[in-house]
Amino acid sequence: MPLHGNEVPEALLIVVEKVARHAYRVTDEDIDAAADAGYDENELFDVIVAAALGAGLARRERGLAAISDWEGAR
Amino acid sequence: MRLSAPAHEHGLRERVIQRLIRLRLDAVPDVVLACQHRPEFFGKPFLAWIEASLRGPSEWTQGDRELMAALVSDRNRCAFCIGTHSATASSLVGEEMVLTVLRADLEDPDDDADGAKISAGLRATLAFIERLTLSPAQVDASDVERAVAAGVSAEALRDAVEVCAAFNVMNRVADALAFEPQDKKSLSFSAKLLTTRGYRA
Repeated sequence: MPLHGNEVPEALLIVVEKVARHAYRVTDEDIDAAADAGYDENELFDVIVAAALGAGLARRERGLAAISDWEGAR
Repeated sequence: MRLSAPAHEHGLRERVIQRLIRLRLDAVPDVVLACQHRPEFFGKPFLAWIEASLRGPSEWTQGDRELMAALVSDRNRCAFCIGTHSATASSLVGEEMVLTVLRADLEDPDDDADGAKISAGLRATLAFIERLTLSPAQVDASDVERAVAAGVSAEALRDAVEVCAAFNVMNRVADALAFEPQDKKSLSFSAKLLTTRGYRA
């Protein structure tokens, strides 16, 4: 769907936020609300995968950086 | 599953594989359906990462790494993945060890998971990835030092970080899409497939 400026619908932000922080709390209503805001199924799938990857890759980066820091301090 | 696109929109090759699975199971596990939906976007590259981190060369055994997958899933409260990876880890290291590890308070040195007879190194590594899962911003070199002091090499710890990161992705996709937990028959089928064939798409 077309967006104007930085405007991201609240309903989509809620889905992204929940997937990133505590995905087990995502509800049918959250997904329905994002769909009602104009996102189709493929777009919602993309957003969920992207939010999940972001959370996973942030942990990967953090873990690997901590190991490099430890090696650097030896 | 919550969205009908990943549940129903698949290519010919994927539908043939699903037909074969249906000969053995009442339903194709949701994780298979989601990974086969537009596989070039998610399933293919993601499963290559999972395969490399859980089955690729490492100081850790497959059982150790399935145990890590089960632990991360448990701490993320992802029922679907807890089921699949507890079953898979159980078939490799025994159910008692899996249950003891999942119940253990890994941050508390007095609550040792020794009942499960795991090495100090594996225990420290599980504590490290638990922390990376639940409070990543707090993880630093002092956490690495603790694992190294328990006998873990930096390389082995890197391998555990890959498992941890990949499962932090999988758990989120599974819960956001509300994967239906597998029944007993489906779990034992998956455990067998994952220990013999791995995660190759």
